Amino acid sequence: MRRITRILAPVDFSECSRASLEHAVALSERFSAPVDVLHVWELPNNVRPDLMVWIEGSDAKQVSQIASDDAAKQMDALLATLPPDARTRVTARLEGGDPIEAILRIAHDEPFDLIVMGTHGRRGLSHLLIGSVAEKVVRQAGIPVLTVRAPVERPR
Amino acid sequence: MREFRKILVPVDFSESSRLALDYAAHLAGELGASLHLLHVWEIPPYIPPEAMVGVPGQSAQTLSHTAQAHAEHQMKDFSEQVRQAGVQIADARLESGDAARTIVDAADSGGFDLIVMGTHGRTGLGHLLMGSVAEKVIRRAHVPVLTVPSRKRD
Repeated sequence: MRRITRILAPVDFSECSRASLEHAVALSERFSAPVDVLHVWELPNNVRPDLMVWIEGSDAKQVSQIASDDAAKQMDALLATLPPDARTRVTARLEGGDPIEAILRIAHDEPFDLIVMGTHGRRGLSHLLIGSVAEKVVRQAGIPVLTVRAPVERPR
Repeated sequence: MREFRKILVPVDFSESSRLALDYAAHLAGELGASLHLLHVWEIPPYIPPEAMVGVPGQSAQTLSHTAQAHAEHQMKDFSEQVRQAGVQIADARLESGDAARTIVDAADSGGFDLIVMGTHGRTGLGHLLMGSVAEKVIRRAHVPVLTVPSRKRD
């Protein structure tokens, strides 16, 4: 029997990933399983990570540095919304790169036995893109995946 | 967030759905949730359900009647097997129609909190086709969906 001992919770800071994090934290409590909350930040396709950018009056920084600083800030804000006892079981992880590749690699290389993630990402405006990350992860992760949709009113 | 109290487990009697059910049973045991099986049978879209079918030596029946009887039989065997393995099942239902849509509707109308299903169904020959029902359910369901792959990772 497969047990739940370590949970990977990829987030993109969307409404939907907040909902999925709630589920991850609830399961972590129930199964005493630690949760790694993973955010993978991405740069636009044709932007070099060492591109220097600045705004008037501040120092120039590499664009990858700006992206990872911003991701760290959003991660802190997200985890701050969790109850204090839940935070003790949560580890924040940031990576740069392609989200699907990073999620699959981490799920494969490390002993996670459950992935909990939202189905609708931040780029979810276009119907075609909706859920593409979750779908690929479900198809390829090789471990159980709990997918959570953005909180919506259920037709009753 | 709703707690997982009532879990819907769509099954197609494959090894994959058996694995998903075992996983759901483990979860239900820990969470104090109830397990509800659902099998959706589909008849090929180009054959009318009232078409008569038969095998030599038996009287002819409509296709839908035959399919329903076959599904009932399979569900009975399957639930007996899993009950003998110690899995507690609250109920087992049969429906006909498009599998993904029927599963999503059943989850809504039955007040389920979670759907647990295998990603490799019986339909589809290769890896590419498999799991298409699960993918549609993930996209359309209003409740969380937990997919259980049948192959262990390498």
